[in-house]
Amino acid sequence: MKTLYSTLVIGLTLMVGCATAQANKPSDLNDLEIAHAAYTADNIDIRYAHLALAISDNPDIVEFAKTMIRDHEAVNEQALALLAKLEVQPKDNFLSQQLTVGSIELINEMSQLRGVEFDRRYAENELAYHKAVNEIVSKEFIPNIENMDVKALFEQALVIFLAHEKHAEMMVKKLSNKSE
Amino acid sequence: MRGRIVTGARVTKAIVVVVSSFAPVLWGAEASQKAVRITHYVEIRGFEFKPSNLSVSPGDSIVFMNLDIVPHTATAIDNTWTTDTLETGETQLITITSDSTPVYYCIFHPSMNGSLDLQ
Repeated sequence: MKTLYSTLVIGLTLMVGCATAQANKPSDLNDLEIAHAAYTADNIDIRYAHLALAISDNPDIVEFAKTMIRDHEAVNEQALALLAKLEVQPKDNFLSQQLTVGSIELINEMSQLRGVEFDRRYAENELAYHKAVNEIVSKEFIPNIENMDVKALFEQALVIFLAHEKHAEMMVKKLSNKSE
Repeated sequence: MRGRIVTGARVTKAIVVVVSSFAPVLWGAEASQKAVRITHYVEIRGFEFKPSNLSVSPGDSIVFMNLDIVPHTATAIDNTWTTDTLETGETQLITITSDSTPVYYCIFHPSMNGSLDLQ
């Protein structure tokens, strides 16, 4: 678990490192780029959840996956409504692209797994993913968002994602006690 | 859809407050013979039940209102009672009985907990 989290953090740090050379790091993103990255991160988690629904028979995993779809779709709906109200479009950026590339690799990897092996990988990734995203949202995005409505939405979303992190932690713990 | 109230959030809150405030007067003479039934009010906001602990008596009701942007439930830990899925702004009234399970949570978000002190 720790290794997975470290890998993600190192990955995100590398992204930041690469991006710095191009004068791009999460804290440099503007509101529209932040909105795009967050929308992308939401959709990635929805994709992971659909994969879980397709593969897993574990009721805890299934319920968690349904919650991820329900909650992330609700957040995205709010985000789109706010962008429409502000009459602006989210802007693609290096972080959105890196997140997408990483997710494709992970979906390919998880697609090969079955049973408790899949369940553990999915749960561990959910924990690591939410930890990493929450770190960026709280330390890089929220302090740098200029529009007050956008900032308020991110603050609301962070509460949701922190609850997901706790939920994922409970799931990982439960699965670690389960025999193969 | 047990007892679901579909009116707007603020209107519902106003009704609950009014009913709670005037209950002893409305029930007047009856109140001396029967226990007054109180309607309590719990907001679901920021992934918390507020208040998270309530003192209630059998016959009292609790109105749960979801003020978050994602759906929630208030569900007994042993699933003996539950609200329906409460979408944003929705409310639902649950009536407490002497054997109501006092610990509840949100079925979608197990880290959210609330409790009742049954008098």
